[in-house]
Amino acid sequence: MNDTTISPDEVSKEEAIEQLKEVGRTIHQDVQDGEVPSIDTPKDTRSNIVFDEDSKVWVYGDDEKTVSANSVGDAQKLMKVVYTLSFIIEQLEQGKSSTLREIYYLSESFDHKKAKFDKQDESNDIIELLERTSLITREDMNIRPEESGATIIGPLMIREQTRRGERMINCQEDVGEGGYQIPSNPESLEFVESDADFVLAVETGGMRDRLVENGFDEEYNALIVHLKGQPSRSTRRVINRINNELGLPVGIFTDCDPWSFRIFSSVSYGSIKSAHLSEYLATPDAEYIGIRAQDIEKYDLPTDELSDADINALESLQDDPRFTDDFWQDQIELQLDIEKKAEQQSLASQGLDFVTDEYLPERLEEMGYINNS
Amino acid sequence: MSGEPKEHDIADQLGDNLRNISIAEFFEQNQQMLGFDNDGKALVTAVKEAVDNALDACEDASILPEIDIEVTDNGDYFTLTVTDNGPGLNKEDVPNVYGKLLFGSRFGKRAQTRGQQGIGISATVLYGQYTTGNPARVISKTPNDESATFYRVGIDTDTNEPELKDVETGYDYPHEHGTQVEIDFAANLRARTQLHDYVKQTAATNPYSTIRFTEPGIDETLTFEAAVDELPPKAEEINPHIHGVELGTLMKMLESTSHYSLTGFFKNEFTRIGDKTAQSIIDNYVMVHEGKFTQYSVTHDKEEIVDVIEGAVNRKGAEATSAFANELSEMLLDAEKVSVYKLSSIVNDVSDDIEDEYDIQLGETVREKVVTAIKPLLIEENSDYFFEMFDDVTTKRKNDEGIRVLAETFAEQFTDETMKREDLSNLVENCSKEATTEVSALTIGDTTHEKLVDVIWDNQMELVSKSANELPNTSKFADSRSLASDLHIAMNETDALSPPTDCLSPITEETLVKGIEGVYEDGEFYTSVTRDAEATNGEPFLVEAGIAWGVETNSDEIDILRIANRVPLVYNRGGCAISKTISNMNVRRYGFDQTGGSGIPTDDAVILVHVASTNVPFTSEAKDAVAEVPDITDEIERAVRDVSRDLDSYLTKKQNAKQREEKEEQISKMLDPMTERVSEALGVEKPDIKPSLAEIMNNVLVARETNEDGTVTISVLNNYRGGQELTVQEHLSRKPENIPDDAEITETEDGEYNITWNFEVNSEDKIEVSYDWTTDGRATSNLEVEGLGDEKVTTYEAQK
Repeated sequence: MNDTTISPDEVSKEEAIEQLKEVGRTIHQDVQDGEVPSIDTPKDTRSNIVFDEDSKVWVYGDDEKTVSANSVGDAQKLMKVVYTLSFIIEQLEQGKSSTLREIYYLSESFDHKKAKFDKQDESNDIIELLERTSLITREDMNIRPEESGATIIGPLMIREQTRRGERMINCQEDVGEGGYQIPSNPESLEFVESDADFVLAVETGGMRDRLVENGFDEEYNALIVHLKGQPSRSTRRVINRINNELGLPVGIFTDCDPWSFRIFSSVSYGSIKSAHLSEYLATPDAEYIGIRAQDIEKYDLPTDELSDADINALESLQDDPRFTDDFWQDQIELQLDIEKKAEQQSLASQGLDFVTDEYLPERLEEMGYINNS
Repeated sequence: MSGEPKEHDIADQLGDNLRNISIAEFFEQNQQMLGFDNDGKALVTAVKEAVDNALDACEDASILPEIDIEVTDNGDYFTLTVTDNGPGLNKEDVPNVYGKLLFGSRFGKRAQTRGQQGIGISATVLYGQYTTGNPARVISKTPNDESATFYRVGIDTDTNEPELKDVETGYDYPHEHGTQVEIDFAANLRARTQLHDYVKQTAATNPYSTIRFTEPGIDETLTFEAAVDELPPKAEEINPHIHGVELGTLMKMLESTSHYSLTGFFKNEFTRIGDKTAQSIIDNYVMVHEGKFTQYSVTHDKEEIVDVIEGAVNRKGAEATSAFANELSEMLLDAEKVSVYKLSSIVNDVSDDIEDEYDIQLGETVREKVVTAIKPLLIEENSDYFFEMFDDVTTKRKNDEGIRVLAETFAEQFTDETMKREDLSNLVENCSKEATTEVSALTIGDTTHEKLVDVIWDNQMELVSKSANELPNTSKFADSRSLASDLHIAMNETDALSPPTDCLSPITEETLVKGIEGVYEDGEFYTSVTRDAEATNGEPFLVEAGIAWGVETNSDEIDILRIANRVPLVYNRGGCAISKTISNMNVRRYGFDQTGGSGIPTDDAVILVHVASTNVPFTSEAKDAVAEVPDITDEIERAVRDVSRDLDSYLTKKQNAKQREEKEEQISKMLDPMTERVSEALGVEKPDIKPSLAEIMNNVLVARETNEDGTVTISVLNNYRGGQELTVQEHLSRKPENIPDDAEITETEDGEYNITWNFEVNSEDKIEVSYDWTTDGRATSNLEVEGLGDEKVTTYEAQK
């Protein structure tokens, strides 16, 4: 592990405060010494992520970017960092928590208008920057996202610490068709026991509902996790934990287009923006189930033409260090070749049960997830 | 001397008239030319003539001019009094200077003088006499005189002779020497703006002069003190250049020269003419006046030529005749082209040879017979030759048949022994007419016509060079307008070295800047340029320009100061090459406010352009606008660009400094609360942000720290890219102790103390100095930094 990555070990409140103060001390010391106040963080670009052999996840390389008070724009950014930092330290010291959106609105109360955020993306970015600089996670800063995580359904017994006490939940029997909702901080969960054979993470709600309606989780002992598009940190963390703690294999089932490939990569490899959290969030064992480019021809799926943006995205993936293996290079090349993309739900063109009766069983058997014979 | 010879051009143009008509008539007919076209302008012209005269007098005598101009309104007429501290006038000169129009006008020798621009002070005297009947009053004192002498001078308008009415000695004079002239004339103040411009601009362009101006209705005398105390170097006089004289001047020079031959005349009376150029002028003259010899091509067989020669020579013996014919025909064939002149000389040469060899006589008659026999032969056979020649120059859309007819027609008529170019041109035109009548498809346009004339003139006509001795002498040329005119054309067609430029006297960059600074006060930026001298049409000239930025102007537009030989031009701005050139330039990119990138910029600024020349070209006899001569306008543009670039870099620097200050302020406004926040969160003391700010801005940080033991430490840290020099001064209300050796301490009048350090700090270096200073809490200190722009320095004071 290098020092740009946050380990999944538990961090105490005092440690978190100390490490955040350390960021403040660098700036204070610069002013004290008559230097240009600045903070350095790993550069969060595609060119600066490298594969870590030990943890098998993608982490930041050695390139750094500096936010310094040398220019008016950067001085303002640094000022926002300092104001946010000072607020977070105060919040931790007082044992309070807040949401990302609250942080954004909170800047309205700052005594200097230059320290206010223009939009929430800006405050989100600055919190990520503070994570990368202090190596303290957002969760350990007591900052929550607004939306809770996605849902999970299948043979899994969970113990959750809620504000109303401890709850034991069977994710197949104690829940409705909607499944169990993953909380925003999944560290409060404990996996008690599971009969599941594997995890199937599904991109779209429609497909997830189809699998549940067809009883796929029961028939194949599967934990069906709904990704809801680009998965939130809590969803990725839960998948990471199930994989680590229960030793279950993880399959990712998405549409066949470059955006879905990126969903796969953020689950499996970790995202570029949060590469400092890769060990915490990424599940390097996760595998891509489909839809694959070959499936389009094989099952004669209804398709759309690739747009210019799709083609650019595919070409960009060709150069992405995370997509250099043969499987992905072939997938991308084939898709660029046939110039088509397909949705998960296009499988319905063969009948509503086709996905659960033929497509998935065939593919999963082929990949060794199930044994039909 | 005031009243030194003036204006040669007007003299040239009007000299003849003056001999035939009375001065009064001349004046009536030429008021406009003399600058007295209305009463308003008359005042400006009168002041201008008198002041120019005074300045010239002082400069010639190497005296720093001190000039008082006083204009008074007497109701019916105005009185102008101009008093100078010049060398004064001798008694015998006074009548001629003030009482004779065009006195001493001369031609030839030239230098940059003010006098080119006016008719002389006597014209004002004449105007005064004409409008009021009063003669001029002059008081003058030379250094040798005990007292000043008073004169009353008028002009006899029938004879152009001065009328001296009174001479009285024993007068006082306000200077040790000098001249005062007082003239009454009809005038009004309608041209007050121009009058002010003239006085102001004269002060700006002659900054070694002190000028005082008192005018009607304004109590206070307008005073322009001299801004420099050195006169400019005097302009050297030079001979005229062959490209720079008018025909009239040339004739006068020919009349008065002591040189008999043209060669001697050109070498001695013109600048930059040696033997070779003198001969070129003569050759060109021969070509213009006499033309060239017609050449024929020798395109015949040798036998044919031999036959003709043998047929022309009788009774000289078969052997000698044959040898003669043989040698002559070979010489002709070798020559390829011969004129009658050359044919004769070849016949003579060969005849002489044969005479020697065969001991026979080949007399004039025989020789002429031979020439006469060969000539028709040469002419006869030329049509093919001309066809080829014409065919070459008429490549486009030619009509072969037509060209052939033209070549035949021309070959038949190209028989004159000599021709001038215009004769040739006429011949070609006539032949073209004949040919186009015969072949209607043929057309010969002007361009083709010129091409044909050129190719024949260059290839088929021979110039026979003559020596000056073979030409008429200079007095013959002086007597004949047509000979002189051909010589004048030849001079202009001859290439010659540019004239020397030491006859010019620039104001010079430094003096010019001081001049405009002195007159256009409180500007934020001044610059000037003096460009190298150039020459056009045989006249040396140079251009100077200056800018005063951020000064008051007459209107919304910038003021354009148009100066010719140090004399301001205050009329006809629109028609002047100087204003037109500026108006046609895009000066917006240098920081001027110029809508659409053309036209007169609208800034609070002054652009001055000085054109100095031995003969400034003007648009008209009124001489109030410089003519648009391309060489001169090019230089005006370059000069204006030079100074505009200076302005641009000043404005850029100013803008950069402003941006730098703004950046410093903005960053400081964020750095301060940010530092406060972070210190609060950490529970530590907030450090001063100034050192950090200095580092961010790459400024020089000057810090004053009072230590616990009472000592004061001044430190200078250079965060700038390059080394910096600066002065740091401490102003203390109480005496400091243990001042380091390199500091300078002075006690002020009110018992306080200044310590001054001069620091030189390399980039990234820090210098520290200390002294003892115990304060009881009431003593005050004040730190000041000089030598660097404010935007480059950050100072802070701290207690330790």
